[in-house]
Amino acid sequence: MNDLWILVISFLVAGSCALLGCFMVLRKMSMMSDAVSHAVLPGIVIAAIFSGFNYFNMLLYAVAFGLLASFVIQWLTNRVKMNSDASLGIIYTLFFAIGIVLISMYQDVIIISSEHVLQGNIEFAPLDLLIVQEKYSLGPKAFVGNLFSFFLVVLFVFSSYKALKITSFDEAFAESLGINTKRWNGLLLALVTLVTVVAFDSVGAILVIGFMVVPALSAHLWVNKLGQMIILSLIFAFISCIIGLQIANWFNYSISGSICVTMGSILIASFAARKVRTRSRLEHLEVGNLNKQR
Amino acid sequence: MNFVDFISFSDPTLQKALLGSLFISICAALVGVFTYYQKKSLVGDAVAHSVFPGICMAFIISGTKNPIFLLLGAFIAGWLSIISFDFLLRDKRIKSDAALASVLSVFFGLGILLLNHIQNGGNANQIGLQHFLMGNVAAMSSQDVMTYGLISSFVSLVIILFFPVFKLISFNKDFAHSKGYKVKSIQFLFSSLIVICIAIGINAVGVILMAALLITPASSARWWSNKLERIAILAVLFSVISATIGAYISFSYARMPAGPWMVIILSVIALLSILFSYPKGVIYGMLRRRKAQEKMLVENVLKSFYHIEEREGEELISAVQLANTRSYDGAKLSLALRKLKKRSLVLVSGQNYQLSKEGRAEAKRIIRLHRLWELYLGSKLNFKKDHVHNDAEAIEHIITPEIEKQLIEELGEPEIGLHNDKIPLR
Repeated sequence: MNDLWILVISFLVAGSCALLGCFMVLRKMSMMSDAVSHAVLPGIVIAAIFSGFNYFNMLLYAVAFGLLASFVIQWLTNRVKMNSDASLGIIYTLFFAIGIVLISMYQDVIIISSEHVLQGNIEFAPLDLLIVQEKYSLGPKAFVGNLFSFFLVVLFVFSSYKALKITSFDEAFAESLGINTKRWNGLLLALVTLVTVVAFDSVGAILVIGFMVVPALSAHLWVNKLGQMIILSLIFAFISCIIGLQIANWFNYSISGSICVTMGSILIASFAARKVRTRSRLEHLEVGNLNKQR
Repeated sequence: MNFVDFISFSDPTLQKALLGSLFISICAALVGVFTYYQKKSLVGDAVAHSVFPGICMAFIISGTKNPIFLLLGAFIAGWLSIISFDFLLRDKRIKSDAALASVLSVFFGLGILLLNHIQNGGNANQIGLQHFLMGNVAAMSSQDVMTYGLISSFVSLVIILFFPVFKLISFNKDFAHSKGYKVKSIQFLFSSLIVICIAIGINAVGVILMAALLITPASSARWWSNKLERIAILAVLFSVISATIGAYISFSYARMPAGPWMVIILSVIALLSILFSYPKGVIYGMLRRRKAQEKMLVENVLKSFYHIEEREGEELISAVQLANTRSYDGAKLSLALRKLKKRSLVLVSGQNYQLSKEGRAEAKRIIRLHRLWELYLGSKLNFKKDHVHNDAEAIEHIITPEIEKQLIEELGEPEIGLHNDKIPLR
């Protein structure tokens, strides 16, 4: 039963990450998830100080800090005209450092292990159940949280597919059509923050970046259409979850780490396959040209 | 008490912590200046995450925490990450941000698996490998400090020796190539320096905060100067300040880690630089913009005075008349009139206003510039008559006396403007 819960939770995490990841990759904003996932740390620590380890309070504080960080980064890049990578690097390291200092200050009150921060605790997620009215169990809290964010992401992508698609590929064109690109960018970033925060608890601060970017990028190497890319990235994400869970079980490794490395292998395979395909296409072309010359 | 202890520099733990973080942060600041200008700041971040599996691998193979072995492992893994990043980028469909994110997360995931492997194996030496994740200067042995100090001084020295070459390559690769420099080997050298610097640096602040030591000093320093040499010196200075304060805080409060405090102080310096630096800072820029807007408003009101005088021949002008000429906002108009009164360019008589002698001269000057520029555009550059006004409206506020003199010479002391209006030459 626990294994099933873990599988379902990892499906939900990987699914919502991959869905949003497609848009992040196309918009060249992949590193934004890196920044957000590190910047939520002080929020989590503050929530832990004030309310123990209440799961939903933690999400609330973390989302607040993630949004704050992405707001400051956007301000520095767009208004102050700093290099986008420099503003990203400065802000997320600052937030992360504040988080670590807070952890050290309140060592007695809270227990946050660096392992939890770096690789999440999906292993123990099934043990922390959400109980309503003291008897009905709704399943693990992580399941409820991730189901909620997955539902939101699917709803968002379906309801605003066209606007998202156009703004992702050609912002100027979208604006000329009267689409409010700023609003869509803001909404997307807010959703990325939410998903990152919910996923952070399960897979840790750094691996969540891989969950977002790697399946989407692998899918991008196979197909040209956005719809196909989204479906393929979801398939890659689910395959990685299944294989990763097996690896973790066999060798007693961390689940999130195994899934992430599996995703990496799929990326390498996709990259190699694309190389082979383009080469054979090139050879085909050359043969054709030679025939023409004759 | 603490402060005296700190200044006297007698505590051995403090000596280690301060020396270690000083060496590392100076070296990182120097490397960071060039990564900043090559827009590769986040490459440092990715490399920092990617050296982690190298460290674990080195530990698995050697079974010890000898810094030389671990450094070697970190160095190899760091290089591998740079190579795989460049390799991914060869496919035009993969953009640098996605490549970075993928390399960073997959390497780090691999590191986590290797760490699990070590933990499952139960080697007693493993305790302390976690330090590489979060960094811990205080846990360094004096042998470590010696090793890292030597290596980072070496890296800093190489950078100082090759400063002009790196500078050339950071700003214009093609030019460097045409001058006969071996761009590829120099870039190889530089990438190696980045990797070495990061491999050492993660001992102080850990893999995640390492990016700050590279990025933050350089990007705060560039608010103060445009010269690369000065930026490098400032970056080093900022790093020294933050390392010293960080070490002091962790020395005074036993629980406080030095690394994160270093990063916080660096970021505070960066934010202060962004806000308060002169003349590039945000606040100074805002003030300057405000001042320019005020100047333009005042000059426009002066022009309105002159226009009314010219058109209607009366010198006593009411605020309503002024407001009608350019549809001024009420608050702005009264602000401009207050300023003009203060500089005694405008005299008040009852409800009405009147230009003073100096005021009329100033108004004439602006009108003159406006009409001269219109005439110049129309007669010399063949602009159409109805296209010149807006251009003149903008430039009249910034033409210097020298340009004015040249314009008058060029146009042969004209008296009639493009729209058959009088140019008030004196």
